[in-house]
Amino acid sequence: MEGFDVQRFIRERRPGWVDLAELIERAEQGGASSLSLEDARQLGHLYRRASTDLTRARRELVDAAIVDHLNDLVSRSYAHVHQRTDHHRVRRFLLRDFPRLYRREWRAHVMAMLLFFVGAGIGAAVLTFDASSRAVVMPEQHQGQSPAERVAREEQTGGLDDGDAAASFSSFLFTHNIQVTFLVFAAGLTAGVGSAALLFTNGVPLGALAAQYHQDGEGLFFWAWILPHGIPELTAIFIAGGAGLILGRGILFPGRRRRRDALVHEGSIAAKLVLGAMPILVLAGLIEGTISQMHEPTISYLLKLAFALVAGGALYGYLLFAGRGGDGE
Amino acid sequence: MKRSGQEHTASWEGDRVRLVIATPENVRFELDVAALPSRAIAWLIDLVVMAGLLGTGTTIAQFLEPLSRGLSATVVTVAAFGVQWWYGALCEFFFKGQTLGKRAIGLRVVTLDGRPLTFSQAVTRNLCRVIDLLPGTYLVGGVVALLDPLGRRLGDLAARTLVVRRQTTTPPSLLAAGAALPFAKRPEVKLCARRVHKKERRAMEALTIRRHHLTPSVRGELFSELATHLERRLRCPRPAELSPENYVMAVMTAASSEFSSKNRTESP
Repeated sequence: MEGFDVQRFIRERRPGWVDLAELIERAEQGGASSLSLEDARQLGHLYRRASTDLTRARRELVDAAIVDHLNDLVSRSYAHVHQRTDHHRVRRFLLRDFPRLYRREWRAHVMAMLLFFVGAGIGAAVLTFDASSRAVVMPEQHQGQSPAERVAREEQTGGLDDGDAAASFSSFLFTHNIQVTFLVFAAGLTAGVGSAALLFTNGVPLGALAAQYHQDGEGLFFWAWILPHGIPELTAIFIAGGAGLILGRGILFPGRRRRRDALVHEGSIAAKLVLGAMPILVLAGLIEGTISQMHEPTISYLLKLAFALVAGGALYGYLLFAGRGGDGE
Repeated sequence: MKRSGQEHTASWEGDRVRLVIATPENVRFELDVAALPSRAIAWLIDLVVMAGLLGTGTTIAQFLEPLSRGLSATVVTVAAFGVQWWYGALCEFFFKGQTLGKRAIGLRVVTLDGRPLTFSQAVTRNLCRVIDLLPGTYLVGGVVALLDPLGRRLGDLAARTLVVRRQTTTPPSLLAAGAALPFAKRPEVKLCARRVHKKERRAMEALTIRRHHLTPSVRGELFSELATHLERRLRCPRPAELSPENYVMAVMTAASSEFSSKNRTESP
């Protein structure tokens, strides 16, 4: 290897490095789409040249500063040459991949649903048998008034008396729901325990609330109020909670993989599930801010229930049947 | 797994951890894993930016207040929500793995195979931040990152990403210029340059490549030390008008061209 002349190497190859650095700089500023076809070709060409130079520089044990520079050039251009874009995948993901993934991971969804409804059942039972437990199991904003009072108040105006308040209320609900969804997913990192606990504890007040309205004979009002948005909202939360449980599955039962590899694998499934649950949450937020806040005499309770049925049916139709057939399933 | 051809391993060099990546072209390159303190500083900068965004949202909301109470409350909620949950994910997706804080510090999030992260990866690692943040001071994420050889927090593990340091270096140059060139072409200098050892050539090249990164005093001292050594050993006096730096670069150039021409005559 005596014959290697560093000065000549640099003199001959340096122009290519300078050009490549300039191209990457531009691509990093404006994204790969800012390069013309000609530039992109040039980038690929110069990248391969720099790769060769890097290998050669390492083999000849040339100065570390040169190796470092080439290493930097190659790693930065590699990112652009081998870029994956997922711009056009959104549609396919929503219409095909996500429902398919949901059906493949249906057990997680059912598990999350069970945890939630066990919580709800316990909440309802506790409230029915021990009225003094109200302060513990009821959501705070519902402790002040009895269901009968609330129904009377809402029915005076038909709900939605103040457009402004409704708008801000619905944006509050919307962001609140998304936060719960994100939390219940991320809590899966605690080996799924956090997700399970969150699902359970979110079920308790709902069950208690339902029991209380039924005790007061306002069951119809309650279900007409909860169900239109509740079905999509709870579905989204169950999907996210299921995703959290999937994360926990990777941590607890890695099988023949290393724990870390298992987490990575389950993590990508879980992330896709959560992303797919987003549009469902948007739907729930829209309904909750509008239809759910309207009451008799503006709109009949039976109509609201019918709406809930149609919306829920459409949602589960999508989840259970979209993207069936074709390749891959 | 689909990406079977790509393997990555960590390598240590002192306290510097690097991720070695093999490309499909069968070239190895290395990424410098970012150390925790630099990430903490980037996060602090991001916190300031996020606070600024929130403040802007609240100010806008205040202006809207007289117009519509509902709209103003909506702006506040949406701003808080967007900043808390989406600032990191959107920045990292659209700015190729850099939030503003990371950009300021020179850090970047990449996938384990050295590519820019996808949308779902950006979302995953930023949603999992809630857990990494526990109990509010990055304790969970910090401990996990300290235990992980590549310094990844839980969000990184779940999203298959890591944070690397980006050093942008200027292309190295060994070109002698100015007064050094005519001196290098003198026959007696060329003759002296024949006696240059491989080690000496390396020292000259190493110093010349790094000369722009040295402080002026260190740069002058190192060059004059090397020049004195060469003068003595090669018995090639330095003209008074030639600076030690130019002298070293001239001998280096002479040694190189001498070297390649000697090679050429020997090769047939």
